[in-house]
Amino acid sequence: MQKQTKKITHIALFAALIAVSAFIRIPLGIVPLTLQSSAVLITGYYLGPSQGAAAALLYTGIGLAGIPVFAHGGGPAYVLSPTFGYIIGFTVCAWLTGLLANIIKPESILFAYVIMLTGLAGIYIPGVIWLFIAMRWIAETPPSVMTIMKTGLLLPLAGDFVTTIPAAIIAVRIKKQQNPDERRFF
Amino acid sequence: MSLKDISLGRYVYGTSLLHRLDPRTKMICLLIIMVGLFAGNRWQLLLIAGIYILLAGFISGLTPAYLVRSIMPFKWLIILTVILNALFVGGHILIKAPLPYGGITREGLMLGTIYGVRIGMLVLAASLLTLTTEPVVLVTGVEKLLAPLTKFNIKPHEVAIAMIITIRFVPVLLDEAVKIRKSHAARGFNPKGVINRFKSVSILLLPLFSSAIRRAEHLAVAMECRLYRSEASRTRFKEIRMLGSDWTALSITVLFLLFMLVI
Repeated sequence: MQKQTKKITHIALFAALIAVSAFIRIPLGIVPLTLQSSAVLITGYYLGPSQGAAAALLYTGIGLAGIPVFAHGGGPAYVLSPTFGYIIGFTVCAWLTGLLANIIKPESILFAYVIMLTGLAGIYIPGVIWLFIAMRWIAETPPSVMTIMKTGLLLPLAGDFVTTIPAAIIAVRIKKQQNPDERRFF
Repeated sequence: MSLKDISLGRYVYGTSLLHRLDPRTKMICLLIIMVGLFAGNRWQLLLIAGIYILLAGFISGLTPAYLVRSIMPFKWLIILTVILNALFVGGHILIKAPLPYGGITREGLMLGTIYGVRIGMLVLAASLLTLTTEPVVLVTGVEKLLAPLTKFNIKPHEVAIAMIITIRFVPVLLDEAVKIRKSHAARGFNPKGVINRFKSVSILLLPLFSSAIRRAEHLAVAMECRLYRSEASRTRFKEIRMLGSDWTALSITVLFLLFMLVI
């Protein structure tokens, strides 16, 4: 089989997975967790840096083209939304996670977990920067650094620390099955 | 969010001039209007852009309800913009309050309204694009616009086909997730407590990911069985062409931009 066709379908299906994971909510305490960052982490880990980033970029492109795959709909106007930075961050995160996974090649779940926590920085750094820029120049209301840090970083990050655990377990398991000769998922 | 919403996008069927325009024209016009809106913060600029966008909305033949609904997700951003500007910009005080500038000011209120209206207009212009363009046509437009990127080893056709596959498979995978949840419930799985909720995450995600990988591989085999090759030149389900009306629409938009920059 040609590699190119397989690459295209894998990237497309993983982009669809990132979109679907936004709609799966786990009611955990007060804040419901979405699995979107887990899906991005697994995508980066499984597909590697370039294809993983391509899948996340594809998801962004489809949302901007007007298909309602983002958390609050979609369309080109989403660029103005203060949370668009996190969506840019998905691409960075998938690339970073894939790169680290390719370099370190972790076998254990613990290593995969550490790599994924590093990958989360890829989501939150652009996310927080964009949140600040959007509030400062689009809404024209300079917010304090502390509020941004609290609402944009600490609260969601606490949830992600937890949802990354199942993500690491799953990523290690499906990566092991990547070799078609020994493929057995369950 | 129901499954139907996703598969159809937000496209509303119609035969108006705006529906018939080439997707590339609409995307470029949107970009021009965005540039124009952020060129300054005078109210005259907003007035001209407003006339342009409302005119486009009128031509599209959509009922105002569609347009209002498209702004709704952004209502908090707009309200917040107006309120924060009213409170934190200095000037002539209308209502006294213990705030940095002594209360709500006239200048702040005016500035806030201008910024709020600007965001609303941008959202309106962007949703006019997605409301009048079918997703498949939009993807074809993106493919044609990406043509210059061939030099950087990006193949526009591959991007387009991946986009279409993703749009097609989002509802399929969403269905699958619901099915997995239901089959867990049918076997008596009822997550209670924090640890069990976590288990429910991983036993939902693992089958979902493995089924997506399986589907991707089956799809690749099926495409190759039908002799799909990405490098071959292919025909499209819906061909798009730039017509006279497209060039007219583009030149009108550029005129509007120049007008906005001059005043």
